[in-house]
Amino acid sequence: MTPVLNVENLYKSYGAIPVLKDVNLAVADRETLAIIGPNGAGKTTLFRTLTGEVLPEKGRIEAFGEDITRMPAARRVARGFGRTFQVARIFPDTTLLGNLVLAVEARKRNAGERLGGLFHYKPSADTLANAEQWLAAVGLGARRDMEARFLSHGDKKRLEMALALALGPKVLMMDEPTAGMSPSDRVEMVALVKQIRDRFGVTVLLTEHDMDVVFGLSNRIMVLNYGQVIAIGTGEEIRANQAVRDVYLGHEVQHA
Amino acid sequence: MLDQVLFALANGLATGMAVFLVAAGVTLIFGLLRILNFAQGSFFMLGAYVAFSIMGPSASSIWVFLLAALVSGVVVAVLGLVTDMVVFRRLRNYDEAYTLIATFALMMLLDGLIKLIWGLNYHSISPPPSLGGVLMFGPVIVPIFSLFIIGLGILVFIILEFAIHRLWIGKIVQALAHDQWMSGFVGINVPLMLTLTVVAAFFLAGAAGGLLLPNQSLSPTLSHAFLLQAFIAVIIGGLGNIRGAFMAALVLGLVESLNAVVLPDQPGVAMYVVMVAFMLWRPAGLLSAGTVDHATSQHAAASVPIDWARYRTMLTVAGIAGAIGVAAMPLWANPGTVFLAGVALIAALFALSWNLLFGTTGLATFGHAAFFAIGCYASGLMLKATGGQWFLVVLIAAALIGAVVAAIVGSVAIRRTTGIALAILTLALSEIMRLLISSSASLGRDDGVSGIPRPDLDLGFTTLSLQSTQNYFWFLFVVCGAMALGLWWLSAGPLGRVLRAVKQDAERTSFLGINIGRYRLVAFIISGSVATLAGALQAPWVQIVTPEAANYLVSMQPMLSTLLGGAAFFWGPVVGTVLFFILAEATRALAGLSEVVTGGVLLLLVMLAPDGVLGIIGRLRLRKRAASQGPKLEFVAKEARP
Repeated sequence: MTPVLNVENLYKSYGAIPVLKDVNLAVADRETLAIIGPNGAGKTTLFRTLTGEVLPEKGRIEAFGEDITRMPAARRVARGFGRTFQVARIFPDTTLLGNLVLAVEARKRNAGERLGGLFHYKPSADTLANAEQWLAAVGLGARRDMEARFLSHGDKKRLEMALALALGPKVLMMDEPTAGMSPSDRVEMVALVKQIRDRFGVTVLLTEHDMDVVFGLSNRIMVLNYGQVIAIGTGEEIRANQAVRDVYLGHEVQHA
Repeated sequence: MLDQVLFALANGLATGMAVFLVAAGVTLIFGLLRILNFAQGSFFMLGAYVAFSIMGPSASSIWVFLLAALVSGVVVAVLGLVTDMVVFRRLRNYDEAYTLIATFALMMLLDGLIKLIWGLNYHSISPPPSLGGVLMFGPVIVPIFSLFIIGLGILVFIILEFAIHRLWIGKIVQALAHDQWMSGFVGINVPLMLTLTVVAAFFLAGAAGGLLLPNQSLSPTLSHAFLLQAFIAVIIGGLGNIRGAFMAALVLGLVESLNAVVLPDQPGVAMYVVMVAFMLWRPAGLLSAGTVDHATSQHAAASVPIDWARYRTMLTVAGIAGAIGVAAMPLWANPGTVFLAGVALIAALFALSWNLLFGTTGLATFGHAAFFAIGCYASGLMLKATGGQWFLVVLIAAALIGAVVAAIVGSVAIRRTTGIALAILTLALSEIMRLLISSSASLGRDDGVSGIPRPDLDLGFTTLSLQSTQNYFWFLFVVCGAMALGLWWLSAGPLGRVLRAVKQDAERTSFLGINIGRYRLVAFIISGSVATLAGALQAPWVQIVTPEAANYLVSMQPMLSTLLGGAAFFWGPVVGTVLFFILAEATRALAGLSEVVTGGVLLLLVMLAPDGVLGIIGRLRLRKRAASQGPKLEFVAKEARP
């Protein structure tokens, strides 16, 4: 089976400093892969080359068998790449329902569907129903008419998740999905991601600092250090890996 | 030939230095406050007038001349201190577009005051005795005063360079420019240092006004000439960078001076062309410095959730009643008022087209007048050629021309720039157009095109004569109304939803799989096309077109109206246009007064109520309701706004 995402010899530097050195990675359908590493390891840069925000200098990125190395971000999204941000980005002056209407209409437009009749300037009944469904799926249905900027940090993350999911992604990319959350919100977020992943069969790629989240969610973990992949494997393999312990997990494992 | 070139060189250096003296103040203030001060040219002009009042048209000695400049510097510095306390400090956390508009309002206010105090006359001023005369270098004649200005520019540059890069104060200023929040943390008295630097920048503007006064013709238009050139230098040099501004000012001075030798028929165009080319090449400027911005810029209008649906019926009834009242104007108002109302209808449509970019898409353009002028000239020339026939074809052709121009300009400008760069780029493009029109013989140069006939409207089955004021007014009412409703329909529909998303967070929108560049371009084309149509409607109504249609004051008109009415509301620009026309009409009597009043009102609005008149009404109602119902507020769909 061809992998969903195949990365070959990815190289990127900022000035004279290389940030990614020949990174290789293959992501299988419906797996959840976490990218971890100490600060400055290149996680975010790798993530951003995959979303299309940063162009690599060398190497190749393939998705569903198609070369997307130089494809602009918006077109990758249309091909099935959803993304959430470290600090949730939503449309603050629009209602929750309005946020989802944007995403649902964007999905229809990307799929070449019509949005409604020529003289219907309001969202179609189908669009509205779909939008409400997604709000309900992340547990925000009751507040559909509230403007999004009044939401709490955690709820903004939920709304953002709904935005990403309403686009019908095949791959969901999450940059630190639980950053800045309280422990109880984290637990809820992990449950939500699991539930959604299993229900809709999406492949998930995430970066994360919280090890409970990383080990709780992912099938495989990739460890970066100074722009190089130092290990990739299941949770147990990573825990057992001496190189990973040395650069990264050392303290935590000793404390535990 | 050689002596001509050498002469142009000396001339260019002097011009460049003069530009630098103004640009230095602009760039200092921008570097520290992130405010691009449109009023800097006006403060410079104020300095010139103060010096003129002290020394008269010819200073009796060089000491009187220098003393006058010093006094001008001090007067302007004191005013600058007041401006900093009253205006700039309030603008610190505002959205870029609002600070630009606020300083523009300040410029109008000052220009108006100067006209009120000193009148509209031209004064020619000669250099003081010991700086008059010329030096001969072989065949080349160089005025001593030019050498004085060149020396002065270099001196100021060296002083600023030394202060910023060699003295302790410079380290503080650099720290402030880089990161104010952190500077406060390490014990720098941030407000005091900011105020001192701002005062220094204003002193420079005032003193430069006095020192550059000789060999200028002093009139209330002096500020505009210097302002745009200084802006160009500051932007090419990289905002906030003194060295960059110095180099750019020199290049501009030389370009300007060579322009006069090589292209004497198109004065001043080369400078703008250089700038446009440069901005497309490097939108961030020649030597742009990095800064850290802790203050997340406030949402322009900190709007409160308002239950507009509750008032929908009432507002709709009021709107329809108002529209009927306007439609019936030829029956109850005098012809002068009807004429003004027609101009206001066109202005309202023009403002709506601008707000599709600003309020809906989040793009502030400062050159919308260019489209309006294209429309005026296109319809004026075509109607003269057809003798007032084929009016529908003329209008459609004008709208198409506007769309094509917008598509060409937009596919370069909109894709490359946003924010301040877009504002200045569009301003420069419209200035190029105005200069080209006013130097083109076939477009009547500064006299424009007059005697434009009112047309007949051939609808196929019948022909309506629009030659009477009454009929043309009704035609205007129908067309402007239909276009406004069309824009409303677009903005309420799927297109409008995407555009509002782009305004709120462009990057987020692109992660919905939406090509934001394409949507911005579509908005620009629609907006440009409607603005051109507005111009095309105006030509037969006022029956004359001049290059002033492309003046940047015309570009300001829709901004004023939009902010006055409320940019977040679709009908805000219309409400604002009505208020603006009433205001302008009431203050028309005295030269300068109307600028003082409109500039002052706009400034107050931006600072106190950035959400406009409709926003104020909404907030008052909300307060009343909150008082009667207790503190409970309900959250209501924004889409339901009228």
